[in-house]
Amino acid sequence: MNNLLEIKNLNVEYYKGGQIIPAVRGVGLTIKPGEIIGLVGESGCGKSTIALSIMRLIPPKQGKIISGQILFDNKDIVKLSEDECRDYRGNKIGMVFQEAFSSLNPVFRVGNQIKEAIQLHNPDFTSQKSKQRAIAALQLVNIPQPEERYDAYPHQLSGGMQQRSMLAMALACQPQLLIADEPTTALDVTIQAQILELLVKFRKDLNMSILLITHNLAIVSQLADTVAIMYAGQIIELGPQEKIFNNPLHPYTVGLLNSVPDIETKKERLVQITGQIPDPANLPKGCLFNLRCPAIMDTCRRMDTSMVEWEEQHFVQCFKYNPG
Amino acid sequence: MWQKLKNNKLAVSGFMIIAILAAVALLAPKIVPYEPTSQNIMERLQKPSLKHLLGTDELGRDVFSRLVYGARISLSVGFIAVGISVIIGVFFGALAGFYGRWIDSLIMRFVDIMFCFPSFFLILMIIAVLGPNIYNVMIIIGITSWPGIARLVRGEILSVKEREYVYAAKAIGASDLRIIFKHILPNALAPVLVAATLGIADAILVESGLSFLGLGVQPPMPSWGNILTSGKDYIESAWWLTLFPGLAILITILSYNLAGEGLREVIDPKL
Repeated sequence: MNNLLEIKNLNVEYYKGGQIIPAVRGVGLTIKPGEIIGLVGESGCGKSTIALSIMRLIPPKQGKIISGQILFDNKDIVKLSEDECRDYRGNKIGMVFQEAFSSLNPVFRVGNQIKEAIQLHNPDFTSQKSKQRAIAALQLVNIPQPEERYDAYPHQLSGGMQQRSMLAMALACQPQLLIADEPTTALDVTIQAQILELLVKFRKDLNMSILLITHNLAIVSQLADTVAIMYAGQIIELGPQEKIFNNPLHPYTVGLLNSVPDIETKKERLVQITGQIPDPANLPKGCLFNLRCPAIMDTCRRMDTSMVEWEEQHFVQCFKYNPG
Repeated sequence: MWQKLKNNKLAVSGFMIIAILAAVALLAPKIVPYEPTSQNIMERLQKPSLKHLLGTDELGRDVFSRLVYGARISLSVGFIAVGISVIIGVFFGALAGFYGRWIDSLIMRFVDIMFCFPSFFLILMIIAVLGPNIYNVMIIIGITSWPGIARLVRGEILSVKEREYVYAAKAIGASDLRIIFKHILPNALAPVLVAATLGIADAILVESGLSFLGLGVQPPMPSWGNILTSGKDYIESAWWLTLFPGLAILITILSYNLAGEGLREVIDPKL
């Protein structure tokens, strides 16, 4: 099957007070049509930066894509002009942000914001037709009484309703790829489950690919086909969901999975990964995890690691599995 | 928000006076008992009476009628001048705030320079060159008072443009101009509304001042400022010629200021 999205050796830097901060370093990732990829990592590891890079929304004053390719349908997004980018955003790639309430413009009715997304990419639609499409989008995300909700202002909706509206906005033009940046972090668990169910439904009904960014391992284990674990701007382990969860290779992945509370075994304290993620402006030499790694070897401090395929489709970036 | 505004008695009275003034100005021809410019030298300098509510001036013109027509001038100068300054100020402020970098520096340094001039004298100078008439007055007040608005809008936009919904708008593929004018500006306009209300008061004052100096509205067209001017020669014998236009200016300015302050209290949560 052809890849819908193919990220090759992506490098993104941020600038802060004259300092160059590498936020994403040499990331490669592929997404197939209809695939759900879970991108997991701690805060500040570069997950959102990858999402913003795909949307070409890295604020120009603050950062830049230094090198690499992002091929969407075999077309390099990195090389697109600003005008061509606008054609992609919302139309072929939709994005849902973490905080639905702050992502909806408070002075406009929800319906009008969805309608705007439709009209931007279908300039030949009449106002009436766009409105009907917007209402259909609201219906698609299971909002009851969509005709009435169309006229609601964001503050009149509940948190779950707001996130659904955001989803409706992102899906209004039926994009091939949906980027969901922590779509459920601000919601309580029941609503969370409903939103995630919607995502699965879209994948099935619309054959939509989803890049799901989260730090919630439970969500990933339920939804994702493929899981990518990020650490300090790099993908350190990548593979099918079952393999990652049943046979984690990288010590960081092992640590992450160990730190999840288990309902069956009663533990006094949760296991934690000692130490903190390295300051991106001041990364350690060698493997980036070498300050916290329980299985550290001498080589880890000297040499940069590289990705190896340990078993079929299961990649890891660690000297334990890469003796050469 | 309306409830909060309603509870502010001073602001409500401000708005009511503005509404009454606006009604008076609009209906001027139906209200006035005499033509504002018709002279009747036999009845010059009469005290306020039932025949002439606020007396007559040195040419026998009815002061009440002249004040009513003066309200038209004052209000239209206020609105149009502020309208011009808001349009220019919002445009440049939005550009500076959204694009930042050299555009921001260029516009804001120009604004700083504009602030260096004592604006009344700047206006005087331009009027002296262009010649005094009411349209020049409106335009000049407008184009000298926008820097304040521009600064205000820029500050608001700086904070609004980092909000998530601006990113969300970008993510659905909206263009820069669309984002500035459709998504950011409506969220940044509340303080502009306050500034504009207070600005109308300023503009009316400046117009009155200019007319008083003979550089604004030219006689025989009545304006509160030039009624004052002609009245000042008779201030000892005919007090009504200066008192009433003075009061009209005072009440108008006061009501705009009260209304503006009231709006600010409702809109600005920091107060």
